[in-house]
Amino acid sequence: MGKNDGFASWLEKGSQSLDLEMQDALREPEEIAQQEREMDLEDELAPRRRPKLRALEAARRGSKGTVFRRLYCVLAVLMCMGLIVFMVFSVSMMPEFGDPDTLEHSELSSFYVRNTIRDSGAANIICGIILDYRGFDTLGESHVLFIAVCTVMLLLRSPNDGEASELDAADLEEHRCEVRNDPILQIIARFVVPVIFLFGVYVVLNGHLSPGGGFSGGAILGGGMLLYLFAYGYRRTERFMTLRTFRIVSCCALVSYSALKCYHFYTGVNEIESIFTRGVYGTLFSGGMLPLLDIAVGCVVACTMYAFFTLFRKGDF
Amino acid sequence: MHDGVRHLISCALLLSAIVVEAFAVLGQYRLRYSLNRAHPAGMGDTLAILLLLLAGMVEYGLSISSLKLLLVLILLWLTSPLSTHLIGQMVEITDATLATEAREWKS
Repeated sequence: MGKNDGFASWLEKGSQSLDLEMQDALREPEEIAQQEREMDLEDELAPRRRPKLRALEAARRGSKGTVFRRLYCVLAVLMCMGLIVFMVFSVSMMPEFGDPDTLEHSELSSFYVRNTIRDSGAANIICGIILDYRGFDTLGESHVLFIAVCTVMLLLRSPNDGEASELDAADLEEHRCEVRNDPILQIIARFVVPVIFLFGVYVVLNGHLSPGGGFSGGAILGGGMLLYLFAYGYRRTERFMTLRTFRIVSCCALVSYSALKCYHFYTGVNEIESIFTRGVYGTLFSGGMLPLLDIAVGCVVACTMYAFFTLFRKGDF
Repeated sequence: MHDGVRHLISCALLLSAIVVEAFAVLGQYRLRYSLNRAHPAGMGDTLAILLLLLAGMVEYGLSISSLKLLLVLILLWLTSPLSTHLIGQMVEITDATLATEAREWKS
């Protein structure tokens, strides 16, 4: 019995201290600041230091801590210097820009430079490589992004089956209020967001002609959507971006990518003439199916960026 | 001759941009409070970028590249001060010791 009593009192004490902590956590920041200011006034020796900070500093001042900190600083500087030296050294080892002898030394690069335009019809050789020679790899990358979003959704998506508790509602309301309707941000976003979208579309569509492509263009589009979200809040973005939109756009893009690639392999192996002709070199409609693949990748990347942000922030779309 | 003068002007602009940016970095380390540090950050964001892009524009002369640099300048001038403003607002919201800091700074 005595043991049980002890346990009960211990439990009670624990719950009391928990209550105190809860009260501490629930207090308003101003209240805490006020109390800390009062504490500072009482302690005349170190008025600028907070009590918790003082305890931390005392712990830090222990001899072991000082040695470790000094060692840490020295090692950090040394490692950074080593890294800088290594990187500068490796940059100086690289072949000079535009050096014609480089191609002779690397069989792979010379193959790509000589044959990409003939094989894929893309003016941007890198696009020809990643979407044509290594199209399988890019397909896998797009699927990895999609699977990552699915996993995040499984882990973080809040159950939204109509019986959301009051806490959830309050939580959601807090997140909605988080967008502070800043007029400066809204006015600038009104000018900048269309420019960002235009540039993103340009980068995606010109992927086979100039530096860029699906991944970078999709990232720009996703960034534009996030800026719009910051400026105007979830209610405005929900008009064009919901979970349904995400599902439809991502799945259609991935399926069409896979289908196009299947068709490409089928015609390639059987030596059938593909309906996607190479077109006139250097124009928008050239490079066969590369622009379509770029668009598919761009859609997946843009949706993924937006989905990651909203899932981590709100747990829902 | 004409090209030489242009190149010299461009170099001078580039050097002044580096000087301004160096002062901005110095300010980041010298000033103690976050809202004070917004001032040198804004300096680097606006004046240093203006000088840098002007140097590029003078070097390229009147061409499509210069117009692109002008567009970059406009976009950066729209967005960099905005991000400084938002960071400042975030400091005001999240920093509970802001009032104490302001009083310390005044005294």
